[in-house]
Amino acid sequence: MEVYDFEEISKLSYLSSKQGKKLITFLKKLNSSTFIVEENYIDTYYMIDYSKFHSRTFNAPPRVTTRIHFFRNKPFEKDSDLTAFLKKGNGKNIEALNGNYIGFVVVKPIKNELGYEIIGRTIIDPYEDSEKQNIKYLVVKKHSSLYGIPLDIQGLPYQTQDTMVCACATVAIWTSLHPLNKLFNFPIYSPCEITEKAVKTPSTFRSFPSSGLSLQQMIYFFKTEGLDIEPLRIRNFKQELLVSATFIEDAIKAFLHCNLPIIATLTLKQDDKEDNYHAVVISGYKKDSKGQIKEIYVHDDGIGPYTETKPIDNLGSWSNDWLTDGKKNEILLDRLIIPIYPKIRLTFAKIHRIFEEYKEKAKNVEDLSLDLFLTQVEEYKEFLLKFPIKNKDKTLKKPLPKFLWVVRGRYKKYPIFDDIYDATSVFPEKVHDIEYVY
Amino acid sequence: MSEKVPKKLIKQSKKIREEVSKEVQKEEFLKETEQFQKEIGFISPNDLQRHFNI
Repeated sequence: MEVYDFEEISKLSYLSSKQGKKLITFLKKLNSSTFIVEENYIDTYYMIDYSKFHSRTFNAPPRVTTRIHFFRNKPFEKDSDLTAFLKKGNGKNIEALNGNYIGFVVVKPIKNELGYEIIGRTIIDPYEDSEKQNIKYLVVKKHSSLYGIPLDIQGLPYQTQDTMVCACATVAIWTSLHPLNKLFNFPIYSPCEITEKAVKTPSTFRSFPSSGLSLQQMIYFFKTEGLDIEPLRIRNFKQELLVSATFIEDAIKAFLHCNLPIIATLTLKQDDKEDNYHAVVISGYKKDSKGQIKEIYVHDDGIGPYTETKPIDNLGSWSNDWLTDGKKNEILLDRLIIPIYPKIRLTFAKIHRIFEEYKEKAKNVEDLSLDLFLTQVEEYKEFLLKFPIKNKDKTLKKPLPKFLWVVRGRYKKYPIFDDIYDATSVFPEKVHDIEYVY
Repeated sequence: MSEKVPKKLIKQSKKIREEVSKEVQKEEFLKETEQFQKEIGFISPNDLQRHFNI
C-alpha cells in the first residue's frame, strides 16, 4: 500500500519520535489529508553518511530510506488512483497536484537511542494562505520527483540529529547551507561531511560518534569553506543582556530579508543542573499590526521545523517546547551567528548604530515606520523598477555595490525614502538615496 | 495608491535624514560605534570552546 489517509500516519512507526509527533501536528495545521509512502528512496545526504560511517559498522543498516509525501485536498484516495494518475501523466493534472503538495519527510532506516526512526531531509512548505502578510519564513525553492511526477516546493530543509555523525550544531549548519547555496553557490555537505570538516580543528571531545561541535569548530567550518561570519554577542559572561531592546528583532528582520540563515546559540537552564548549550536556525517570524515581532520560528533538531517560539525580554530569552516538554526552566539567547559572503564588510553592529539614530530622530514623528535590511543590488533594483521614484531611469542605471544596507522610511505600507549604504565598505558610507513619489 | 502619504511626513523625513547624516559623521559617534562593534563581535576563548551538543 502506498496511498494513505492522513489520519493513518500515527498508526505507522515512521513519525513516532518526539520530533515526528511535532511534525504530524504541523502537517495537520497545514491541512494535510493524504500521504504517499515512497519505499527504497535514495537520499543523497543519508547515502553519503552511510558510505562514510554506517556502512562500516558491523550490523550495517539498509542504505535506502523511505520518503513520505504529503498532500492537501485528497488528490488520491487509494493506490489505484495513483496508478491511474501515473498512466495518464498529463500536464494539467500535474499542475493541480503541485497546488496540493505540502512537502516530504525522509525517514532513515536507523533508530535513535530511544528506538524511534530518525528523521532525515524534510522539506515542508510552511505557508498557509491566510497568514502570508504577517509572516516571513526563510524558504528555499526545491524540487522533488515522485515516480517521475515533478513536484515543486518552497521550504527550509530540516532533519533531526543522527548522533553517530552529528549533533545540534552540525544540523544547524546543514540547514543553513541550503539558503547559502542559493545565495552564494555554497556547496551543501551531508551532516557527516560537515562534522568531519569542522573537527579538523580539534577539541577534547570525540569527533565520531559525534559529541557536538564547539563554537570554534562551527566558525572554522564556515571560514575554511570560504565564507565569513558575523557574530553578534547578545549576553556578557554574567549572562546579562548587552544589546538595546530592538537589536535582536532588527537583526532577525535585516538578515532574513536577504534570506540569510541566522544560527542562534542558546543556553538551556534546568534547576540546579549544569547548563546545556544548543544551536538552532531562526527560520522566520510573525509580526503584529505595528510590525513588531510577536513570534519567531526556529528549525530546532530537538523539536521540529518552524517551531513556534515566543519572545521574552525583547527576544533575549525564548519560550517553546524546551520549557513545556523538555523540562528546562529557561532558554537564553547567547549569540547570533550569521554566515556571510566575505564581501559583506559593513557589520550589522555598525549599521545598526546608524539605524538607531534614525529611530531616535523619528521617535516623535507619528506614522513614520523605519526598516533596516540587507539586500543584493539585482533584487533591490527589481523592487525599484515597480515603484514610482524620483529620477528613476538615472537611479536604475547608476552602478551600485553588490550588497546594500538599506534604511527605509515608510508610511503604513508605502515607502517614502530609502537611504542606501554600501555593505561592501568597511566604514558606513551612504552611496545613494531614493525618494518615492506618489 | 489609495491613500496619500501626508506631505508633512515627507518633509519631516527629509529633516530626519539630514540630521542623521550630520550626526553619524561626528568623531564621538564614530568612536562609540567602533567600541560597540568590538563588544558585540567579541568572542572569548571560553566561548570558543563552548560545546553545542543537545
